[in-house]
Parts: sequence; C-alpha cells; structure tokens
Amino acid sequence: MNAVRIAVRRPPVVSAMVLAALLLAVWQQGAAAADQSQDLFERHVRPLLAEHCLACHGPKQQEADVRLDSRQQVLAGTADVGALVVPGNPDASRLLQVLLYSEDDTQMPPKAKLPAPVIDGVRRWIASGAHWPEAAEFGQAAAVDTDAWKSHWAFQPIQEPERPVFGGEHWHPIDVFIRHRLAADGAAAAPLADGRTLVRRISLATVGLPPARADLEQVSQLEADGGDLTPFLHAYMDRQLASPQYGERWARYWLDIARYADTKGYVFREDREYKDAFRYRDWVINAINADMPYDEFLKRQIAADQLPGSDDPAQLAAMGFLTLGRRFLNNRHDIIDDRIDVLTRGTMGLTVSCARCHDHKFDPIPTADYYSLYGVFDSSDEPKNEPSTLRLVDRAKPREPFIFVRGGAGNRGDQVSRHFLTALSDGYEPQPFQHGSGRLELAEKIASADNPLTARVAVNRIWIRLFGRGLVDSPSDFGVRTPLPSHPELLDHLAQWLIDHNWSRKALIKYILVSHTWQQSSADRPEMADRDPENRLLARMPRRRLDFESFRDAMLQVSGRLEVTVGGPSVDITKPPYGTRRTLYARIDRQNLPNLFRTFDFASPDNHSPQRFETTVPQQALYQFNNDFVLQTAKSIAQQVSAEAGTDAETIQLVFGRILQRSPTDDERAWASDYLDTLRSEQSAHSGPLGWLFGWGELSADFSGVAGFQPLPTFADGRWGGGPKLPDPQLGWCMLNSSGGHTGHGLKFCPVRRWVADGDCEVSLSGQVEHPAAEGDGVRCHVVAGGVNYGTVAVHNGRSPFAVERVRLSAGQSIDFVTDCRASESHDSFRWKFVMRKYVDGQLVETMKSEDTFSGRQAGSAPDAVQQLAHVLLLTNEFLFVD
Amino acid sequence: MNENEPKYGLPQVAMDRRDMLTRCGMGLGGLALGQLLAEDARGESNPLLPRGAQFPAKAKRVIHLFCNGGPSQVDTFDPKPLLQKYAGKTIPGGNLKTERPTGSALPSPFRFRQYGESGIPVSELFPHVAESIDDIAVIRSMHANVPNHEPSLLLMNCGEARLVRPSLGSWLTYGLGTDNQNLPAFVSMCPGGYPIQESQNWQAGFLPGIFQGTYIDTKKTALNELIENVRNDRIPRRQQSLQLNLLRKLNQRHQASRPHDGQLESRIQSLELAFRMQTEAAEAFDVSREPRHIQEAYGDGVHARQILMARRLVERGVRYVQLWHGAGQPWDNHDDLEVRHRALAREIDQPIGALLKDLKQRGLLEETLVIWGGEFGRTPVVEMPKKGANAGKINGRDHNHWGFTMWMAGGGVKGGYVHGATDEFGFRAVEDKVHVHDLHATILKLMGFDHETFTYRYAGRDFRLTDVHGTVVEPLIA
Repeated sequence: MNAVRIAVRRPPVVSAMVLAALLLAVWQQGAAAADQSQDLFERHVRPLLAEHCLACHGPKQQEADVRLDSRQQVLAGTADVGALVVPGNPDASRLLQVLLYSEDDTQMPPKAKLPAPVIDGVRRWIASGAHWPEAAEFGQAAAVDTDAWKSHWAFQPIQEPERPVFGGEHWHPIDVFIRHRLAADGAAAAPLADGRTLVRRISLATVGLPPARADLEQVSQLEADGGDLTPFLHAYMDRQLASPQYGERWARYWLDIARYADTKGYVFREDREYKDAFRYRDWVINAINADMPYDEFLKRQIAADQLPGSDDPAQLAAMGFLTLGRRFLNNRHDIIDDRIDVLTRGTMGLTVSCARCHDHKFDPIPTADYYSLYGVFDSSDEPKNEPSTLRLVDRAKPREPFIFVRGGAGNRGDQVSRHFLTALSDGYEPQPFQHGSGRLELAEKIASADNPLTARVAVNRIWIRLFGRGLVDSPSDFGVRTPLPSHPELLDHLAQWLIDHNWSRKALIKYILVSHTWQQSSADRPEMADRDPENRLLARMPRRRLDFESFRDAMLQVSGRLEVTVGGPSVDITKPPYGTRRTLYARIDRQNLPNLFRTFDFASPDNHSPQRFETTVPQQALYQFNNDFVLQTAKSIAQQVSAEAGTDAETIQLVFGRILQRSPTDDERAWASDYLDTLRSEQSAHSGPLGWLFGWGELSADFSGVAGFQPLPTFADGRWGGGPKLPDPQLGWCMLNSSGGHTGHGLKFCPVRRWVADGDCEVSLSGQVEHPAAEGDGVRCHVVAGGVNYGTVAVHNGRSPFAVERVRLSAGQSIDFVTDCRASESHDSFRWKFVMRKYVDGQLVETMKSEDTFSGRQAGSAPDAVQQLAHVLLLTNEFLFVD
Repeated sequence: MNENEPKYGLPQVAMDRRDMLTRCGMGLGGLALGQLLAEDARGESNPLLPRGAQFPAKAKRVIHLFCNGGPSQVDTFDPKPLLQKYAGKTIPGGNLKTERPTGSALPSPFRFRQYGESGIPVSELFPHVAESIDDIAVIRSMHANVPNHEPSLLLMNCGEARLVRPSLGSWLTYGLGTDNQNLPAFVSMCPGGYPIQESQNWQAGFLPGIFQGTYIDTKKTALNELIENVRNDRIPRRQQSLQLNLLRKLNQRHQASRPHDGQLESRIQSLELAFRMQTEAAEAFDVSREPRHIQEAYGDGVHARQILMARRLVERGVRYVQLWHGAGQPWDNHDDLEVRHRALAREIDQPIGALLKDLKQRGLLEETLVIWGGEFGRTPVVEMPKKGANAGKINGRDHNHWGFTMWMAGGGVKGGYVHGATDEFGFRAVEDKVHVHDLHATILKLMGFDHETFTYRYAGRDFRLTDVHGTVVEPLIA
C-alpha cells in the first residue's frame, strides 16, 4: 500500500484535553495539591493570560516591562515591583492586586474588571502554590512527546517477568508475587480458609452453584481427621471444571462481555426477536466446556465463516458475538460501530469507538484505524435465508473505506485501507489486509500471542471473576490513561502462562484456584484497614455476595428443582410458572429489561459489561421477602422436609441441612424451635385464607349474610367467572372484574368480593356503585359482615355513592361485597369502586382500593410454619454470601 | 406509622460504624466525622440516621424537577425580543456549534408577562409557576460542556459526564442521612420508564449502595406496581415480622464471626428497610389521602400525582426526591416545539405551581430546596432538517449547552431574583455564568456543605461532587 500513510496525528501544541489527561494521571499518583493548582491554572489562569494579558505583556510587547508568558518571568517580575506572583500568598501578589480594580491602584485588564469567579480562581491558584505546568509556556510551542504512548505498560510485549526471590522453593508463582508485594508493606498473607469454606468457594467459582452436601461432609471429615485437604480439593476442582455446569457459569461471564440479548432493541415494527440468539449462547457454553483455546474461541467469533467447520451452522453461530447487538433502527453505521466496540473493548480493552469522530483523545487510535475496521465490517454481510441468521460472510467485492469526517457519513475524507490497528502493528505501519474483507486476518491479529493486549485483558477478566476485582481496575480500557496494574508482573506472568498453556482457560482457572492466595481465609484483617482499606494487596480473600444468577440458581438447587439440561431456547423467568432452568437461560429483552434483572445488578444488554455493580438495595430484599418465586421455593423445600421429618427437631435439622448445608447450632435450634411455636400459635388464631377472595354465594333474604360462599373457579381475560365460557351452565353471568362485575341469577348466585381480616381491626368504606344500562331493572349492592347488613344501595341506569363508617372485625372474620340482580339478571353489568381504610387501635394503617386489590389470585392460607422457616433461611446472609 | 407499631419493635442492629467509616474511608471532614463517631458512642448505628451538615443551613430536603430532554430557555424564563427582529434571518455573529445543523433566528411563539413584585417575566407556558416568582431565583446563565444528552444528564446529576460517580442525591443522603427510616432516603420517580442513562442518573457510584436512588414508575397506580414486590399476599404482616425477628438473630450470629464487613451490614439494613417500606410506602404514596382541595390544586394526571407524592415524601422526611418528566427525553423538541412545549408545560405547570404554594403554606418551603431545569437548554435558532432526526420539519430547536435557564426556590434561595444573562439572542451565557459545577457547589452550600471539603475517600483519592471545579454562586443565597 503505502499510498496512504497512517500516522498517529497529534496537534502540534499540547491541547487542553491532553494536558488535562496528563494532569489527571499525575493527580492519580497522589500529588493532589500540585494537581489542583495545575488545574486552577488551566481553568482560570491560562485563559485569562491568553485572552487578556499576553497581547501587551507577552513575547511581542512588554508594557511596563511586564511579561507574563512563563512562570520564570512571572516569578522574576520587574525591577519596580519584584515578583508578580508570590506562590502561596495571593495578597502579596501584584498580579492579583491589579485584577482587583482598586480605585487607587492600577486596574488590569484596562478594558473592564474580570468576573469575580475568574479573580477568585487566580487567588486560589496563587494560594495553592501557583503551579505552572512546564509544557504551558506561552509563545513557543512546547514540544510534545507524540511517542509517549509507545512506552505505556499495556503496549509492551508480554514476557515472563522476573520472579522476586521470595518465599519457599515450592511456592506457587502467584503467591510469590502477591506475598512479595504484601511483604513490602510489612504484611503477610492470611491463613488458608477451612475445608468447608473452600469447597463452597470452589463450587461457586467454577460452576456457580452451591456444593453437594456430601462433598462438604467429606472435607469436614478429612479436616477433623487431620488429613491433607490438598488432594481432595484439587480433585474436587477437576471434577467441577469437568462438569457441564462449569461451561454454563463461565459462558454467562462471556455473555456479559458480548452484550448478549434475545432481542434487537427498538426496530419500529420489525420483529424484535433474535430467534437464533440462543444458538450463540449455546455455542459459548459448549466451547467453554470443551475448553476451546481462547485464541480459537476469539477467532471463531470473528470469522467462523472462514475457518474449518464453516459448513456447520452450530459453528457459525459463534459469530453471534458480532451480530447480536442492538439494531439502532437498522442504521448500518451504528451497527458497525457497535461491532467495532464489542470487538475492540471486548478482546483488547481498547476504546476504538472513540475514534469514530476524531482521533482518540488519549490513545494512539486515529480515525483512520477506526474506518479501516469499519471497512472490514462494511465488507461483510449477513446472508439472508440461512439456517443460522447469526453469520457474516464476505462480500464478493470488498468495500474500501473512507474516513467519515467527524463521524458524518455524508462527509467523506481520505480513503484508507482495511488494516489492523496502527499502534499494534510492526513498526507502527499496518499492512492492508489481503484476503476478502480482512476479517480473518483481523481475527488472527487479535487472537495472537504477539498482541500485547489480548492475553492481558483475558487473564484480568478471569481474575475479576475469581477475586471480585481485577489486577487492572478498568478491565475494558487498557489505554494510556490506565494506571499500572496493582501487580504488573503477576498480570504478565498470568498472560504468558495462558499463552504457554495453549490458551486454556480451564487450566488457568485451576492454576489460580490452587494458589494460597485464592485459598486464603476471608476473615477480617483489622491491622490492614488503614494500610490497604480496599484489599488491593489481597491480604485476605474478599467475601462476596452471590450474583443474580448464582442466587437464583442456588435457590433452585437447594429446593431440588434445578433443571440441569444444557442449552436450548430462552425462557421467561419473570412470570409464573417462572421456570426452573438455570438463570443463564432467562430470556433477555434488551429493550425492556425487566426490573428483576436491574434490581439485582444484571449486566446491561446494551453495552459490553466487563464487570457488574454490586449494590445492596431494599428492592432486592422486597423480592426475597415477597416474590412468589421465592415463596414457591420455600414451599417446595418445606414439602420435602415435612415428608421426611417427624418432630420439630428433625424438621429444623433438615431445613438447615438443605439450605445452609449444615446442622444448626444449639442457639439456632432453640431460636428456630421458638419461632415455630410462636408462629403456629399466631396462625391458630385464624386459620384459612386471609385477604381478598373473589367468589359467589347465596344472599340471605334479609340481606344480612352470605351462605355457601365459594371462590369463583376460573380466571381469564381479567375476570373471575364460573367457567371458561360465559354464561356458565351453573353460575350464569355471575362474574367479578377489577371495576365491578355482573350478577348471577337470583339471590342464589350473587357475585361476592370477600375480605378476611388478618388481625383485629376496624374498616371504613367509601365509593360508588354504578349500573350503566338503561335496560333491565338494575342491581343492588350490599355490604355484609358478621350477620349484619351495613348498607344496601340499589342503582339502575345511573350511579350512587355509598359510605360505611367503622365496621369492627376480628382476626379471621370477613366482610362481603355482594351484588344481586333484583328481579331480572339481564343487562346487569355493574361497577363498584370503593376504598377500604383499615384502622388498628384507631390509627389508619392501610388503604385498599378495589381496583388495586383485585387480582387473578385468590387469597390463600398463610404458608405453614415450616415453609416460613425455610423462607427465612433462604434470606440469610449465610445463604447469600460466600466467604 | 412506626410509633404505632411498638409490638413489632424496631431493630437495634449492631453495626460498627467507626469501622464502616474507616473502611469506607468516609471523609466527611473532621467536624462531621466527629459527629458520626459521637453518634456511635450513643449507640446509634445506622448510616441513614439523620445528622447535621458541616455548617448550619436552611435547606434540609430537595425536590428536583427534571425536564429531561432540555426545555428551551427563550420560550420559558429568558425572553429575547430581538429574535423577532431577526426572525428568519441569520443572527449576527453566527450560530454556535451544537449537536445538529441550525439556521436562522426562531422567535418564541409564546408571550411573556411580568409577575410578582419582582416583575420577572415568565412565558405563557408557566402561569402557575409564575405566581410564585417572588420565591424563585431564575438562573439565566447556566452552561454545560457538550450538546449531547447522555454526558449532560450525567454531568447534571453526578458532576461527571462519563465516569461512574455518585449522584447529587446520593451525596446528600450520604452527608445528611434521612429523617424517615421507613422510606427510601432518595427517591427518583419517572412515569412510564427510565430517562436516558436510566438508573445511572441516581447512582450511588462508589458510595455505599444504600445511598442510591430508589426508582419508582409513577405511571403505575397500584402500590404493588409502583414498587414491585412491596406486598406479600400470602404472609400476613404479623407473621412476617416474626420471620424478620428470626432472620435478625441468624444474621447477627453470622456477622459476629465476620466483623467489619460493610456488605453484610448493608444487607441486614436493606432487609429492615424493606420490611418497613411495605407499610410506610403504602401510606406515603397514597395521594388519595389528601383533602380534596389539595388534590384539586395539583390537578389531574400523572404529573400532578407524582408531584403531590413528592410533597408527601419530603413532608415525611425523605431527603431527596427527583421527578423526571417521563421516559426517554420528552422535552427534546427538535421539531414541533411550539405544540410539544405547550403540551409538556401544561402537564407540569399547575402541579408545580401548587407545590410551591403548598410547601410555603405548610412552612416547608424554607427548608425544601426546589430545583427546576433540564440537562441543558435549546438553541434560539431553528434546527435545520436532518434525515432521521426531525422529520424534515423546520420548527424546532437543537440542544444548547452554551446557555440555558434553571430556577431554584425555597431552601434559603433568594426569591424574586434573576441571576446572570445570556447574550442578546439567548444563545450563550455571558454574564455571571454558572456552570453545572457551580450550581452543584451552590446547592451543597444551601444544604450546609462546603463542596471542597465534603469528600469521600475512594481508591486513594478524596472525591468531591464538584471534582476540582465549582464556585459557590453567593448572590443566589438569601
């Protein structure tokens, strides 16, 4: 090629942005004060000097001998007044004095007094030491080291680092690096965690599920016998890594990076589903289970169509990595941009997308590089009518890309070749791709042992999953602003190790798991609190909360309901019947991700997510207390336990065993036993359902009571009725919906809304009944409780308000809202909206609106005591955290 | 309501606050830290317990009315009659660069009128708000960094356009705790979904998660839909409180052998909060408990409801309530601005007007800071047609970060006051400019904090809401 020479372009003079970046970097190294001062200079002083001063007091003119274009001259000052700036002493600084515009002093600049914030900025700048960045001399363009990025740590070739001479001969290299660094701070590693803790930790780290009870018991026994745990633990790791659940767990991590979703996002009326998305998900699971070398894993996701197996749709599904992004209303430029982003951040930790509109502000990525990759994807199309819709194929004739100036497709700049990133090319002179679109060549450049980023980024990602935090804090930005890793040599060691071991992730995971560092206790180290509050040095293992998938999967597992089939179409887990598949099979709707996922910090399906947030919010607890799926889980456990247990003592033993996988302590046994007793006595006060029921019954002739109340059997289309079709052979038109309903025949088949009090209380009612039809003879609405009629309102072709003051109810007693048809049941649709206020001891405690309390579920009896106990254990921190 | 429930008993959860402070490195500064430690000595140990600011201040709570998308200043609070003269003509000096191509001057289709003793002009879009103009400080010289929604939203909310940083509401809850332990300290309401950038707008960033805003979709009316899972329709409350009692014991036993772990403590706190939210939330969010004349004053519709909810929440001690106009960016009127701005303003003018009077009449306005504005404003010049952007129409305005208007009321703000000015066309702030960082510094000051020393130690740095920027706009303070 050489027709278009690619060079990293930099502005000749240092720009404010670059300078700010440099300042930021310096600041992060801790020189906060100097930094602030530099910032003040940038913000207030430099613009002030440039705009208002240098014309008269600069290189060309020096009115009154004053020259303000370098720190040296400002400090030297003039023969008359001496220094113009006295660092640290604003009031003594002549520069500030003249800006103040005192009536009896020189006033500068002559045109007008500067705004107060600017003057204040100058004051603060002087007060903070009047720092003047060296590069900010005016008049002569400071030479900027345009090659500085070349020495950035992440761009250096990966090589085995020198290992510190430290520790015992047989120490694991990871431990040598970690403990050597700790020793520099005078600290030692923590002792090993106990066997039980390690088995749980290993299981959750490898397969994302709690361990089998048998394995916990075996390790406890070994420990009690004083045996060496190591052979057992290593064998256990191998076993877990060999199980198909390993691939499921680690596939989900990759899907975070691949911004996986089952839908396209907003695409007008086009079908939003990616019907084959799950085939990509399954390809990832299978590849990880098969321990496909990571380099091949990447290559296939970029160019499976040009690799062996290209006739196999299952292999072609790998390219879902590129093709399953948001569709941006099918805007081709945005789709390609999304692909460039997921590819470059996902595999190399480079934010290439920043170069869409301008050369990257910080990293050596010119727009030419962006558009060369753009050309690669622009030369690849998605074939139509294929068995797999996920694949890309090269166009017969590749398209030669042009730079879109400032990102505007209508604003063509220079033509560029399709080539790899300049900064990562030999001699910084990338060669044009030779074959087709160049996608395979691109894949090979990325998945190469010579690429300084790919392996480093990969091992850092694995480290994050195993320790909760990376050696590099910005796992998808290894650019020049990224500070050195917490343990640079360790990162390089791991990267080299991965390459040397045929890019085997399974091997690398085990390599980390067998280290002392990973097996340390998570117990608090108070002496480290000041020295290393964030535990960057790993003086202990961080305690971690189960993520959304592990939490939900663990609930399914301990209730014995987890379905272990691998792969297949996605399922909705947010609505009944919820499904019992692992959470990774949940359908992910990119456009409207259900709150459940957001509440539990699920990865955004719109962006490549290298790391999840870990928030603790009450909405999570509300889900755990109240969601039906959690209640069902507890119920399932309780049923199984109750089938086995005879006494409460046995029940408690079994519930603890199932959920917390251990026996209760004596304390816990006593607490649980007391709890069951108290709860049962509470429940015995009123058995039967509490809350709202939607049923029918016979209204007594004096309208004072309902006989033979039964719940309506069928709920469909938002209403409760007598059967799947209306009229029902037995109950006729009798039905209830959120705003009212329809009467049945005579007093015998009256629709009845019933509320059963959950405790002693009083209720008051207000609302309105309405019978819209002119035909027929209208309806009567009755409020009945405890054999007393509290009001009857008749209405025909109109509406009527009603109110009832203070009805006293005891726990378990009900109040009924009954409607009868009068003489004729034709045209007897009615609306009955009301608000019921509940008072306890004279205080208003709850307001229930008839529309809100209507539901497709009849109130049920409270769960039995064992179920509620199981529910409590599912909510414990012990269940939710891993030490 | 909690005082009516002595039988359930409120928990005394053990929490080593000193440890949390040192571990999390809360850098409230010497005074506040000392105060927190003193609370510790008294056995009060909840990160949401109310505490004083760094120095005395009038404002205790905030209601932030967020017109997401960017309301136009020249059509609301910053009249520019000169636009009429240049209607259809290029304005002298040319247009500033904004997101999209723009053309000639577009005069405001709305009439302005002077209100109150201050005589501050307000357009016909906000007649109800205008009635309280003497309690309002209009800032006409706001400016931000870029003309794009995403970074501007994050800048306005978190003081940083790109990186993960705590939102203003999170900062204030961290600094002040909250006066009602049974409600979320920081509530973010938006009808119908999320604004752009979604929950990042109320993120806690590196602050503990308990300081994150609680999102509520106010388009929904049933409580169980407003706050998912807020009710248990199987387990009665008395039985649930027995569950919680046992859970507390088990968690405390677990925690006893794992001291100094903020995560465990946060989880315990979140269980307690969730339990109490179930009843308190039901009551607080139920605007039907308001007398008829109050409901009528706020009017109908989802905005009336959520603005009235906001008053009920601040009245109950919620620290920070943010109200979004709607999902996405409703005020982003690149076309049909006249029709759309009119419709949007009509939705909120009456309830905001009612809110200001209602707060004042209850004596709450003095301690409640009400903030109104978007993430930026709009251009005084027309946006040119662009494919896929404005339906080919030439009757809207582009984003404008160079100059825009926000207003504040109550909470120690100087009422009936106009601060700063844009140029003669309303394009760029030119006089007494107020950057978003300056606004943040001022809000913090009104709430009793010095933005330069109100910090949080994270990753080896003392972070501030205003980073290294910001100057308090003293004239805004009464």
